[in-house]
Amino acid sequence: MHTDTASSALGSKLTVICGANEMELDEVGGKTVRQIREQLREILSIHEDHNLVYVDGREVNDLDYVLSGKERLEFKKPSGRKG
Amino acid sequence: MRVVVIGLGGIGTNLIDPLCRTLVFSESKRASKQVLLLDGDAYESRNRERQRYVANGNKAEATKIWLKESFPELEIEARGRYIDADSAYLFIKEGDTVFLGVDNHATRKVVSVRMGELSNGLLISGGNDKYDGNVQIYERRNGEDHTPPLTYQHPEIENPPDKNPAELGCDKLVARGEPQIVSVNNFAAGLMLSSYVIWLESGELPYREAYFDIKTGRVRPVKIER
Repeated sequence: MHTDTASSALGSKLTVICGANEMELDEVGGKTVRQIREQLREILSIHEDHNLVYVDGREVNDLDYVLSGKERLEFKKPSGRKG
Repeated sequence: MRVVVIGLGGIGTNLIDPLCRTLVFSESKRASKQVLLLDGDAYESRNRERQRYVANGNKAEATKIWLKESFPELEIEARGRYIDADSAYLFIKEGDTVFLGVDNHATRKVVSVRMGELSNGLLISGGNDKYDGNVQIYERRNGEDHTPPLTYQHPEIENPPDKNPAELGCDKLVARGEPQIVSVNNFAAGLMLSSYVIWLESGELPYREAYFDIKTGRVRPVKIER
């Protein structure tokens, strides 16, 4: 089985990842994946087609998934197309 | 056991010289001295902005000419055609290492599927958008996936929205060109070669995927979890 890095459950911050970039957010417990995406859309270049979402390595299909604020949230960036 | 380089465009042209140099001087038994170049595209003068341009003509055939002069120690062959689902078995064989620098996900899927048919093989695929991109590494060992295929966590490759160039008409082929930056192509090529060098030395991969972004200066590896 191939899985990504597991949870950051011991931390107190939400780690948000898109492509090469990541950042940590404090005190965002109770926010949804959708809200975090809107908040960081420009900062992390989260595009409309970044629809594959992982929370602590588990795929999440519901953008209204409520976060505890201590997870590792990844908006999976599609592969570069050109070459 | 050969090295197959598919795509001699922006990434391929930045990869091929240091790759051949690595193959010549590597002491690793995993370093093949046989290289197959594959590309159905022809050079045009507009390619000079990002690609090593010698003369008009097929990219694979033109690249072979100067590579053979620079690296007489290598056996270099070229095929001036696109790889597709029907021809993949002809060009990718058991034990091969494939470097994939193409400009469409349809071909990435074809090559990933073919790699999955091998018992042993290594596929290093690079792709970029204007300022960022990624490298994916798919290794097969003894009939099993040692790292995941290119389609894993990449639905855009599993169900590509684009077409294999072998299926496009001339007008669509001309329209494929989009603005790219040579340093981004070079970055992707460098990451591809770097991961290969680690594999040559140790037989192990440092990561199964790596994203890069030249605007932020970041590189993020995706580790192999076991």
